[in-house]
Amino acid sequence: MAPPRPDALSVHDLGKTYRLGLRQRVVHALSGLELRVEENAVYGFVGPNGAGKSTTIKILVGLVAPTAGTARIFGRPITEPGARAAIGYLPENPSFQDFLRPMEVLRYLGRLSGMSGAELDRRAESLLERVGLSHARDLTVRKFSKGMVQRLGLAQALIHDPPLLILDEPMSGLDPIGRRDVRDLILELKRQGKTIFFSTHILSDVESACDRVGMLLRGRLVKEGALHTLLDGTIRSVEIRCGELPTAALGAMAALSGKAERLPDGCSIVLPDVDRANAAAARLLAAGVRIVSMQPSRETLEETFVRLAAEVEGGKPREALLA
Amino acid sequence: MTMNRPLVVAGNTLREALRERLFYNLVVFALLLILGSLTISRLTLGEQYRIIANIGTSATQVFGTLIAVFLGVGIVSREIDRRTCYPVLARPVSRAGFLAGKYLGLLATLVLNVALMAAATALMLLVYRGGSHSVGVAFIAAFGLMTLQLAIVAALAVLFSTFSSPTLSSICALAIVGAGWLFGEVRVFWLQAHDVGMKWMVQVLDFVLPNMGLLDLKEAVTYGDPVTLASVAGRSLYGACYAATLVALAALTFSRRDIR
Repeated sequence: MAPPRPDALSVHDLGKTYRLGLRQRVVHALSGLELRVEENAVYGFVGPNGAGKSTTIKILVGLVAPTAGTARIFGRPITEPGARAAIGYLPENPSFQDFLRPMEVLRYLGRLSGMSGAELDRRAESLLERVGLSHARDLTVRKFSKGMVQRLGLAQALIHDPPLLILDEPMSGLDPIGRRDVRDLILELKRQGKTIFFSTHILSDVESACDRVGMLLRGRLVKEGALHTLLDGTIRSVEIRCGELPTAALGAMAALSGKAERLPDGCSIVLPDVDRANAAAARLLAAGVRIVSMQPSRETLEETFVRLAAEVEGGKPREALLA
Repeated sequence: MTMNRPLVVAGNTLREALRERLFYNLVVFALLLILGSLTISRLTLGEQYRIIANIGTSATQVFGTLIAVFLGVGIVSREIDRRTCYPVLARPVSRAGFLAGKYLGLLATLVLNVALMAAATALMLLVYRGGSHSVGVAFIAAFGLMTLQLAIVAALAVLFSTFSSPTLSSICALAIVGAGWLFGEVRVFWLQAHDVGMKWMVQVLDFVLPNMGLLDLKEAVTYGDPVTLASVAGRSLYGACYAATLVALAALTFSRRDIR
């Protein structure tokens, strides 16, 4: 029987402690991190600024040495430079030597990944096209906008066609169209069989692209799992949108629900559960009022995150988020 | 890691240096000085050849040292400050390989610079003498050893830049090079004298500081002193070993550094 394929990324008890300043003040940037990312998964690594996301990523790509624990890329320890051949890395706010043109950047970094010749040129050309930079091929990087540098960063991460992509805040600095392009690219790469591990503090990015999510707070992983298991699936409220209501009827609905208001094109009534929403809808229909929609509201990832932060900090989410 | 990767880094470093304005400013200024040496030499009587040779070798040395220091101190620290090394070091490139590549690229820049200065000096000597006998073994050996001097200066700059700011690195590198030159003037006196206090310290400094004078054949070119190949080989070995030791130390320091 063939041995099981190793995880794309596995991290065990990973920790990083910095000693800062003359007094060697100890800062625990990361503590006891455990992670497993299976092949062909899209893993979102979320947390506020300063939570330890970038530190984790820098350890994984060999820029920072861990003070505790181990990490493996497809079964190979990250301490072996050869293990990094399987990684495509996009740094947060990437930067390239500004005297180079995009093709020169891709050729340089492609050669360092062991590529050469016509194959490298072909790949670089097609990636410039894919990330929407083919029109800027004659410009030097110093003339690039922030969004263009970010796109070049994505192209260099993909130049050697790595099986694992580690992207640090890939949507940072992009306009809405750019963000959509990156989201589409991530999904396309997943379809091609790639594994994607990306960090972000923008939770809507995660909800739209990830299979699994890890939440990091103050250097600790506070929650990890498939996206649907992290979200509290219970319905928290139901909003009924309906046609115009007389003032008395609107007041009666407000008494029932606690929140009813007029909108430019009708009324909105928010009810705390499904039963009361059904009762309210029946009364509206009986009164001959047209119901436009009934929309249940569930906890979003952002709300989950704030709730977890509050749990970690004993009811002080803001302190946790600003750690 | 294959040997190819440091060479790829070296090629990019050479390209970066050749697009630096600072490099061209210094090279152009040194070339003007060398080309102007013919005019300056006319101010003296009977010493024209020596003046031209002296200005040529000295300008190469001084401007080469400035290029080595100012490009060398930024070669690693600038890559870290601007985060341009992140996508490089996240590839299968070892820290030592990256640093060796950066150093080799800088060295190639210095070799180009010295070759250009040597050619300009040779041209001036040929214009003055009208024959090729003035550019002999001593001339070639002097510029060859000067390249090794600059290799040491560059290695010092790179070593300091792996753990210090560019400004501090420049000061430290120049201070040690200066000490290396000055110590050469007094070492013989100190080492031979019997009543010098802390002689052990003098011996330690003699071992640690770069013996820049050993790699200096300016006088042989200026005064036409004979130069033996064995002597040049011995001096070259010293220079190469000294520079290689500094680069190895720099690689060790850089390998242990967190890039954050």
